[in-house]
Amino acid sequence: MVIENKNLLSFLYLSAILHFILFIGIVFFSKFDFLGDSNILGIKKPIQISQIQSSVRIDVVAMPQQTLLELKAIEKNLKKGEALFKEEPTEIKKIEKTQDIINKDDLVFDKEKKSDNLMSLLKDMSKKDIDVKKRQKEMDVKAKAKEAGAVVGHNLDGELKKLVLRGNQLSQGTGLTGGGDVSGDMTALNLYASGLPDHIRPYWKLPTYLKDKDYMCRIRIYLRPSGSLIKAHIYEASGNEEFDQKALSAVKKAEPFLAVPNDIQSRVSQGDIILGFPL
Amino acid sequence: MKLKNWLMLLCLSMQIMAGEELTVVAVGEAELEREDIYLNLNIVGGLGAKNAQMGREIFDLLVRDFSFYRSLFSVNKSEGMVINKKTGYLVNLKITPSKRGVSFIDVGIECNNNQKNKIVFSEQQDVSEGNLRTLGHSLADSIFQIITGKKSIFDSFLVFVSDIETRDKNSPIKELYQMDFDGYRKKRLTFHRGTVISPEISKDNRYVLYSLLKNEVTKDRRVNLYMLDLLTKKTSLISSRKGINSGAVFMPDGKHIALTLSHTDNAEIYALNLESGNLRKITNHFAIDVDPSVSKDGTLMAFLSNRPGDAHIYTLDPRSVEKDVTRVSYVGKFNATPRFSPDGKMIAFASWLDERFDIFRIDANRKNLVRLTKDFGSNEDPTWSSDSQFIAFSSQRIITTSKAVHNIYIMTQEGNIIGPATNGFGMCISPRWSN
Repeated sequence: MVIENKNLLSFLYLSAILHFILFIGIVFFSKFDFLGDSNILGIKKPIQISQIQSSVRIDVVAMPQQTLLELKAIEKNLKKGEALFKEEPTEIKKIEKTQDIINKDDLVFDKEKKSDNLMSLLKDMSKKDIDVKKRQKEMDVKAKAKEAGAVVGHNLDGELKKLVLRGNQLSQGTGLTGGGDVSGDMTALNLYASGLPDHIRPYWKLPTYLKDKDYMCRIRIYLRPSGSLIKAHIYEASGNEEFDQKALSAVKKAEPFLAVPNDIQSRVSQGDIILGFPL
Repeated sequence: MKLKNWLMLLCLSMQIMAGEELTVVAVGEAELEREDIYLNLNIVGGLGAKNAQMGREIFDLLVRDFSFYRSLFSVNKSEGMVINKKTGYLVNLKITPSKRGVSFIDVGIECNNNQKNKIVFSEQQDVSEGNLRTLGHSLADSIFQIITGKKSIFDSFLVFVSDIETRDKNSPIKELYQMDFDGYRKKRLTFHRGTVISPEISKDNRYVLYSLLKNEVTKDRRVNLYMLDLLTKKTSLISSRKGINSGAVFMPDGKHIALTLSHTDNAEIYALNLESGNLRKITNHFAIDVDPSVSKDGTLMAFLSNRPGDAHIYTLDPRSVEKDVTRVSYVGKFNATPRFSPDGKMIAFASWLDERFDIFRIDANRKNLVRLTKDFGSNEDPTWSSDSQFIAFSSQRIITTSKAVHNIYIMTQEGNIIGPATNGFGMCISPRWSN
């Protein structure tokens, strides 16, 4: 194809030159980048980091019934997948069908007669529509709850509700705690990454002389589809080598992690997840 | 063709510019790795039975001290063993006869970092029966500081009120006593033959403030405020205004105290200059404001007020009048004795629940309300250790309808009960931990 319009041609050349200058500029300034990674050309990539953090709404509704130690024990049990409160066996009684005998004198109220006007018809239609949506929503919620229950092996939602009844300040609440997102919308990668800390935390231990020193390091991990570790390296050092090594050791001890879902396998194997110790 | 090349280059540059998106996920705070500490006693031959017993006493003291910090240390003890460990710390205590005579023993102590195979602490002292416990706690604290880099509670003490002298008598007197943090070496401090209430220790551990309700019947039954100098043992009257003069606490500058006065009919919290005697109002509200507790830096004061109807905990800036008043507690039928932790991060308090008091804890920023005691009698009057790791409190057990036992207990700030510091010492209440 030959471009004959001279104005368009000069515009394209100018655009290409400007982009080239922009490219050279980026290459030049990327040398001052503090993010340690580079691509295959040896050019440091600009990296966008998003931190997963969730917020919950909590209000103090009563003085806590459970002590801190009891709550910790409950938390441990939840992690182990044990039931928090044993469900009391419910007795199922067989109900024998009996024929309803209606005597003439039993009828107290006359059946309400429906009016056939246009307004009542419209009302009925909208009510039906709302009912269908409501039923659909209830089914979705139930399905989600079932899914969540299947992961931990028991009905977590029910247990938390029981905790609320026992006065442990968990409620829908109006006060927001945590700096994250309350919408609950998570990408597949974020959803997978948010499950990793639970695997690592049992191995994340520090001696007294390193705790409460406000050290922080970040570790970049590269995982195989099976969840096993390809490699892990210090992405941001804390300044204390022993602290960094303890964090790195916790990651290594915690593998293999959960199998990586198909749609994020390439990103997870390329090291798109960074673990913050502690943040 | 040239244009094609330019466009390809452009695409390549755009691809590189697009970069990558990383996701950071927080693992959270690490659990504490308990340090193994191996305490080994070597008693060299030639010591008399009494001196060998002194050696054992100092060894038991070390074991007991480190056992308080069970969240930090896994304590292992042995006698006369050769211990070869690759991790943790080995503390070797060697007891030999002293050159100073039979009333002394020579205590040699060495602490070895097993991982680095390096002696990190070494000391040799002549110890007599009189200074055995002071020296033992001091040695334990030195080792603790080397391992953790922080000061321990080992040389701290508690003051408390007990009726031991007149237990089961018609007119009981409740006097002030002092004991080591581990319950040893109890001694009486006051001799008023009255009822001592709400003691408080100064930041330098030299003075104790307390209020006194005298047993003799007077016209107005005043509750006066006194200060005891632990060094000179002298007592001075600080405030004897009409009504109550109580709940006094030292301000961080050491020159002022905050106390509750009711001489204007309504109980308010004031700052009193100990040198000039000048009074300054801190609270000014028609409700009753009592029980002040000031944070370490003096910028926050927790107190109890019935402003909302029930007794609830509030904080304010005590450097001015009614400045930045913030309600901390919103639940609980009756909350009492709010006490700031020395690090200023938490407030411990007692709350009436299930027909008894229990100890609760809340962060100074009003978050993380947690319960610490339950099914453990009625628990009141919490007081923090200087490192904010422990809470001493008084606990009441009902024995019969007419008899109850009060003792001072110690627990960790998480609610792990360490044990009683008093037992069979009458009714022990109002503990206050030294700084």
